[in-house]
Amino acid sequence: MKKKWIALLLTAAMTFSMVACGNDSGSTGSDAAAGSSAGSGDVADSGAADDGGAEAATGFVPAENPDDWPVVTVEAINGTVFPGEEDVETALNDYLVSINAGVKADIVQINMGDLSTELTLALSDNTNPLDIFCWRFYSTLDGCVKNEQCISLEPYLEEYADMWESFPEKVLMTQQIDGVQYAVPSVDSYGTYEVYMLRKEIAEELGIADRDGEEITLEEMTQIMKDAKAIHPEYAYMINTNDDPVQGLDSLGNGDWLGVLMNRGVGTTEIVNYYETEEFRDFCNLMKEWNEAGLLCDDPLNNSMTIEQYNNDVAAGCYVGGYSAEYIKTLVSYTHESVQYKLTDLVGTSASVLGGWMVSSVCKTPDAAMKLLYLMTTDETVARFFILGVEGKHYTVDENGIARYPEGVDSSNSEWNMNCPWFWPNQCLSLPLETDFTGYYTDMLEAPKNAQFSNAMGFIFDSTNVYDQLAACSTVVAEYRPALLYGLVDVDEYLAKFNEELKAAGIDDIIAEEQKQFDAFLAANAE
Amino acid sequence: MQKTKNVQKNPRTRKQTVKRLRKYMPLYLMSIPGFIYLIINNYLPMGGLILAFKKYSFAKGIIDSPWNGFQNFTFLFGSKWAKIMFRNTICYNIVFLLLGTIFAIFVAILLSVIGNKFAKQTYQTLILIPHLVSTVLIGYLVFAFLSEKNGFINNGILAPLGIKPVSWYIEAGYWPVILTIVQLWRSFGFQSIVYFATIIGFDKAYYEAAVMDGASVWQQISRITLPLLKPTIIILTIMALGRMFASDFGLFYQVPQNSGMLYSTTTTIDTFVYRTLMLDHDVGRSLAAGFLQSILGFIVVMITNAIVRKVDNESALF
Repeated sequence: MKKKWIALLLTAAMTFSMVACGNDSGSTGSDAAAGSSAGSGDVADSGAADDGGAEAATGFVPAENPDDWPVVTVEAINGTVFPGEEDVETALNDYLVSINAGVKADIVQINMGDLSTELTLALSDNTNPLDIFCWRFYSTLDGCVKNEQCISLEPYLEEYADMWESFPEKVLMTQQIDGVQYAVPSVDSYGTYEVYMLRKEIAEELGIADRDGEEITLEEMTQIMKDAKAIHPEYAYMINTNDDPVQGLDSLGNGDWLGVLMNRGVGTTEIVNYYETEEFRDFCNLMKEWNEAGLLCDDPLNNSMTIEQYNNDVAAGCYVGGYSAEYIKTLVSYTHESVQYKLTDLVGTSASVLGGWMVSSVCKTPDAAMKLLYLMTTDETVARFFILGVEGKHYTVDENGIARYPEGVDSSNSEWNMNCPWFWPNQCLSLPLETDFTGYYTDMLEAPKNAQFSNAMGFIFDSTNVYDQLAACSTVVAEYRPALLYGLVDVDEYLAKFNEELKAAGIDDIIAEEQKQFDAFLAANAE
Repeated sequence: MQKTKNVQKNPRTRKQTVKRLRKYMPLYLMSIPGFIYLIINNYLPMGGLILAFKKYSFAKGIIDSPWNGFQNFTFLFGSKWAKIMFRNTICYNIVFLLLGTIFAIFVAILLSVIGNKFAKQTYQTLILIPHLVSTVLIGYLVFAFLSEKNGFINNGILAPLGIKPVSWYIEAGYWPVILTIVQLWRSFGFQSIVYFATIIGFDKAYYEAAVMDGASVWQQISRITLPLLKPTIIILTIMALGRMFASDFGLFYQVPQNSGMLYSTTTTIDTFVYRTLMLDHDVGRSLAAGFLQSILGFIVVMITNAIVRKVDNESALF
């Protein structure tokens, strides 16, 4: 009898704990605050991919009592969970109350390593919805819209007109599909040029350090690398050879280069198969030459070809992109001083807009979410809470207007993640962090004025009709391109095979479809 | 006579059932959490399979997403990769199953004839270690051997012999062998333990009698051990066949380090699906691939079991 009772007790305990597992009731409080009885059906009606429903919102009216304000959840990315979240939220919400924002924020930290899974789950979660998120690192604008993970922002165009007008038209277009605005672009320079960065002491030994900033050709660059190799054979002089700008491509947002505009889309509207061009053949031959001269890293297919190889003394030179020489120098805290030789012009393509912020389709209070997103993009104080944390606690500001870590704190033990300003909607509202370059953000805002833009800026290819061809071609590209771009194989033999397989996999269909849609895009924008 | 017996049997059985139920109640109760877990975790999600035939919308949810027939399946069959990935998945599985089983039984028998208890336990532990190593780590172990410029094989073996270094990560032809070796190395320990556990359960009297009759060691193995092992082999094989169209993602993605030039021999259904859908978050298409794999695996299991039942009823799984 005793045994039976124990069994019963254990069973009850286990069953209870299992059922309790599935019901995460100790959640963020967003559901309580949302205070709406919206089921999934209502959510679908709230405007997901609802192109037609462009009625202007009546304007967001805050509830009188701040305790009744909806709490909007916001995605934050990081490598570990930062303990400063509560401090930031408290300070931020106090500020939101002080300006009668009508909305409060709840930051949801998501680990970069789990981003894909976590965000996919969060965006299908009706009970604890994630309200505002950025597609960067997760998906593409097109992908999010096709999956109906975000809602149309058309109803908010009028209400927040000042925010929308602060973006160049071409930049706004990169976050539209069929003319419908789905995201707020992350503020950036929207254009970059590419430089070859070489360790300063090597440049000095070669007697070319004084040419810092000068524009050079790929041939000159090859010679510099070879000369450097002769005096310092222990280093490689290039890391990642897969670089769109150096090869003059506007990839139309497709990293596999299945149909590109040459000359980075400036002055051309013809989509070509880059792999068939003489330019690509010459480039592959050049890479072969680099590899044979020992300029490339060992085992490039097996190692991650990132700037880390420069910081770890494997390579003494590599490509870097940015909007100005000073910016590039402060971009990452490189371990070695460098000189830079300019390789390309400052050009913006769709790929230069690196992220866009969206309101999720599971969001139950889209009006409030949009209000918060507006404040994150336009209100300096709100933006700085997200980007830098709480002033005086997580950072201090010096006399030059540079944000500094408090005494004894650096990026490794900071309680708030201050290393990803570029992830947030408007980094230019924050302060440069731990640098001497005071123009970090002001110059960034100036950059687009000097940039040329690709004709395809704002063009987003809808791959629905050629999805299967795209899937097949992507795999073919992954099969051949890395080996060709690292000069590991015989160019003539492999290039021929590569092109043959691309044809078989349907690259011509893709390009024809792209050209058709691109022509329609050009015609629509010419009006 | 037969009939009356049955009629009489029924009430008694019912009574017995109730009695037995009462007797074993604690055990049944204890199994309830397990059942609930199985239902929640393994059976309820099956409802989601309908998404394989729908265009999933995060906004509309599972029920309201629109149907789209077989459109989610087409990307699997549209190109040369269809042939390659099905061929690779099936062929590797057959080879792994065949060689894996033979090798595991071989090691299990070897283990069973070791007399020294300490040695036996040491070997058991040692051969199990590869099974516990993460595939990502195995990928780097393999890379340490095969790296073109710094690898052990090129530098430690081929160079002293005066043979030109081989670009292992570019030549697809070597990989069926490499992957088979890696798979056998890391899986034989665990499998052997399963067979070994069965072998030590055999009645020693068979072997004693055989020795008395003058049977050689080989005869003991082929006449006693193997026939007794047959049911276990069949069960494990049928279970493995259920995974015939699935592959170990880690083995085919991490170990060749997703090196493009090797795709023709390392692409399986899982790695193709992963590469294709990595950026899309296309729930419908990934489900379609998984659904197809499960259905095909299910069919193979049913057919095999039917054949086994026909040939040797006792050994059939169900």
